[in-house]
Amino acid sequence: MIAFDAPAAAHLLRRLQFGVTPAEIQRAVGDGLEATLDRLFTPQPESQEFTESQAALRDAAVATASIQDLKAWWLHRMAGTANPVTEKITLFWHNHFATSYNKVLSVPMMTEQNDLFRTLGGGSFRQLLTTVARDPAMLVWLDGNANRKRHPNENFAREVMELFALGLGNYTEHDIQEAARAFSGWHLREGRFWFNDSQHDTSNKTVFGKTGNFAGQAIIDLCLDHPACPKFLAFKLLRTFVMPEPTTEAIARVAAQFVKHDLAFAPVLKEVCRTPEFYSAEVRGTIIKSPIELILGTLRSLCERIHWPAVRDLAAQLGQDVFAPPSVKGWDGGRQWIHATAWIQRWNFLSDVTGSDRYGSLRSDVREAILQHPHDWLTALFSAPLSDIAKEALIKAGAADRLPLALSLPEYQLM
Amino acid sequence: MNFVRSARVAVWVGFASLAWSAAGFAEEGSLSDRLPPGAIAVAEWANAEALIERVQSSPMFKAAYDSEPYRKWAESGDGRKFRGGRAVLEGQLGLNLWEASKRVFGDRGVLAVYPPSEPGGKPEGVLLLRLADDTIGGHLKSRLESLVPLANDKIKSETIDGAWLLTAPDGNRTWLKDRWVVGGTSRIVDDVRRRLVEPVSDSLAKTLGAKLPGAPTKSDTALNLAVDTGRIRELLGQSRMIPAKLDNPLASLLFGGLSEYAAIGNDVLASLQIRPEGYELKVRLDGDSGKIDAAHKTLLTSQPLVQTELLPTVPRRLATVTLVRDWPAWYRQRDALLEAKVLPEFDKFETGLATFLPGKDFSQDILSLMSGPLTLVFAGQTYPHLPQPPGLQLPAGALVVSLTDAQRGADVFNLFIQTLTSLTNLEAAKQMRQPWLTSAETYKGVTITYARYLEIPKGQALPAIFNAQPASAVVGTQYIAASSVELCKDLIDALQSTQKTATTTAATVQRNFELILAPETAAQLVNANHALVEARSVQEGKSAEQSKAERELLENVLRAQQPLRLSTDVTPTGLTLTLQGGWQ
Repeated sequence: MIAFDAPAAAHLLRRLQFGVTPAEIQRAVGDGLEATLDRLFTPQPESQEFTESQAALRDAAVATASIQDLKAWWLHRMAGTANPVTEKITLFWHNHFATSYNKVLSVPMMTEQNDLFRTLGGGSFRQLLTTVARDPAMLVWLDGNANRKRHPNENFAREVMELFALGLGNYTEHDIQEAARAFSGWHLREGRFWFNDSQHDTSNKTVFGKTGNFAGQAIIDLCLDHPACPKFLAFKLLRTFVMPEPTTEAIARVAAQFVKHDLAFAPVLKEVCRTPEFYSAEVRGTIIKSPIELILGTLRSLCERIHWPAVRDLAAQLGQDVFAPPSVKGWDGGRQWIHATAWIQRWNFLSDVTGSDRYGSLRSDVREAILQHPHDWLTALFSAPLSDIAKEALIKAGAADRLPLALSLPEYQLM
Repeated sequence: MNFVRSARVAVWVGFASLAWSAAGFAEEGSLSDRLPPGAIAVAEWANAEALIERVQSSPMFKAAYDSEPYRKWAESGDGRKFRGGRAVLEGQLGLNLWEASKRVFGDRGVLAVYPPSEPGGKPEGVLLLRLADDTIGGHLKSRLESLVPLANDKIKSETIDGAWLLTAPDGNRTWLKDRWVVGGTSRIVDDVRRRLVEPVSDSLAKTLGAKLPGAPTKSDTALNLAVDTGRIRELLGQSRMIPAKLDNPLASLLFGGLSEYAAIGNDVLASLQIRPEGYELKVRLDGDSGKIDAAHKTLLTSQPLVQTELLPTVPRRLATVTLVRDWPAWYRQRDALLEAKVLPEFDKFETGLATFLPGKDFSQDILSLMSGPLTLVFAGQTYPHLPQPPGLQLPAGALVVSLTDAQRGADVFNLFIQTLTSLTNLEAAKQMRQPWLTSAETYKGVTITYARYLEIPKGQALPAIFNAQPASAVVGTQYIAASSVELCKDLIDALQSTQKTATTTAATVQRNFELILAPETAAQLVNANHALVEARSVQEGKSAEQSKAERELLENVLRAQQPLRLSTDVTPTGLTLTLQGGWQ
């Protein structure tokens, strides 16, 4: 039995959206766990203001073909949508299938891939991987056109096994070489996927001990049917949404859920969020907020009139430049987010939130609300109970000092 | 310059005086005939009331007043101070500021600045206003007289011959009867007072005032200005007031000739006429052209103007800039026109140019091909060659130059464009963009060489690069390099019409520079890119609704403007700058 009290509701919301407010916590507690999960995992209507704003930003990105404008659009979308779980899942797959504009150099392609993650991300991984394998941005990113019958390029075959579906240790170099031949001829033409049969190797290949005249889709199916696939997905899901170092038992439990749901992502995530383990003290406050979670979570909870170009640049400075992950492995996350320079920049950002309009304007009601309802706000801001000393200092702090003090605590960096 | 800048007239709006005569306003000539001679600068205006009313009733003003930026400023600290101060002043005056401005400044006035009466002193200023009616003075006195004691007896208040006279400890004095005189010293105010009663023969109207370029009219708002720059230089003990070398190459190229005349000329004379149909500012810089050095003369060449503009307009024109210069000589003598610190940039430019025109010297091989006017034209596009406009609609741009040798010049410039196209294609290949192919077509007997896209993507918003379709053509001795075929054709039409006119019409003036801006086209571009303009506001945290309102305001403000024209003409005795425009 899960005690779905305010701290539990705050924990759930913090993991499934970007930041949380006392009002959202109150609503979740009032609705109960099941109703809250149903709401979070069911498409909600967007407000007219959000619909118009995000359309304007997206149109601008398409019109200018500027990746900077596209970044601003997505950040605005992540913070403002009525469907934050969808955006969290989109961000998850962007990191999983890490593709960078710096090589793709096409805003339409990056937009299309982002839409793909949004549309298919919560559904079956089978369909997602099958579609991503033919995605134009991915074909550019992993040199699809260089994979030719007589000169197979192993990039895509390697990443399908190592980073997309199985993880290290579940395949051999020979499997990759053979799979690469199966993907030969998977090319890009006029900006779309094109099967170039003249460059496809039609001879037999042996992958995972099975031999046949495999084409690319057959290799994808072999990976999806591999017993390591649900475990790999379970590990990635747990590490992102539950705990930084997933245990073997937890991975096994979630992998079983993936098998049960035929690799569908959102249903498994929803199941995970109803388990007592998800709400245990060992899980709460264990994940270091990524730059996007820190920035958007803070701004969404506390600010209005957000300056998206400044936010975009800050996210890049802090190490999470959306549409430009550092490598095919994506962002390592965890402790990698907190290095000496980033720590200072994170602190400067939080200082700016309360002391300047650089990233947005602090909502006029926030300072007063924190004074009037300190416990509600402490629940919203912190994932784990604060020490008595910190709590006392916060309660004693005056109107001007309480929020800056709260945001400066190391515990605020966790969720 | 400090000398001029320090000139001041203390306008005591808060402490006016009054004693009323029943005398009406007799028609009179220039108000400067009531001021003493010897001024180094004089400005006289008439019928400001019409201008104030026009501003007050302008839809553009109302739109700006209702705009978000104004509201934001009004809510700021400075805005609150302004609104508070205005409320206090209006309460004290018993008039709103618009009304007070019309009745005090709305009729006629003259402002003059005199050299210091003592060596090392400050210039003296005096302002003489003819009030708009015979009741405003009494009204002001009745509302403001009670404030004088608040100055703790530091301001001396007297009534002399029915006029209210106030004198401050620093010598500033104001006198009000049917006229209002405000001056920096008692001496100059008293002198003007005497002249109001008994005009004397030696007045400012007969010296510097005689140079004022226009007489006040009954219906239009007019401002006339005369500055004796020769006398100011003499007082300052300087041979010139503006340095011969500028530190900005573009500013030097555009306004170097103008600034040279201002630096060494004898007078600056200006007239501003504001009529319902628009305004016109003319500034005449008089001077001895023989004193202009050879380097600056390269900036003062001119072209006979046979129509109203050097280059006839093209459809959807956004802007036209025409410079008439002696290009090769200008470039060779740049050391004498520009400060040394900016000259290395020219070396870098020449090095970069070598990529596009290998083996060519910019001065000897390129600029020597050019003679006379160089025109930059910008215009809106209709994209007849595309299935739909690009997502970001940009104006087309074109360069029109006069060539000394049409064929040779066209070859060199086309070489430049071909190299640029090749390099662009290499870059396009890297970024998976469509490459350009060189094609040609004939339009009204002129061959247009242009670049077209190999393929145009279907079913998606076209990238901004599709705004460009480089094209070039030669019409007579005029070479056109345009960013679109459409503009290139429009320019061929314009140049062919010019050639016909040139043979039948006599030149009116010698034009040296011409700038024309069409705000209506700018409004159309804002409208065409409304999603983008609004997105920029949304990116800054504004709501979609607010962003739309601000974009509409911008469009309305632009649409309320008439085309703006700025030109300079060379005359035998100097240079004339003309600015024309208008608003609704």
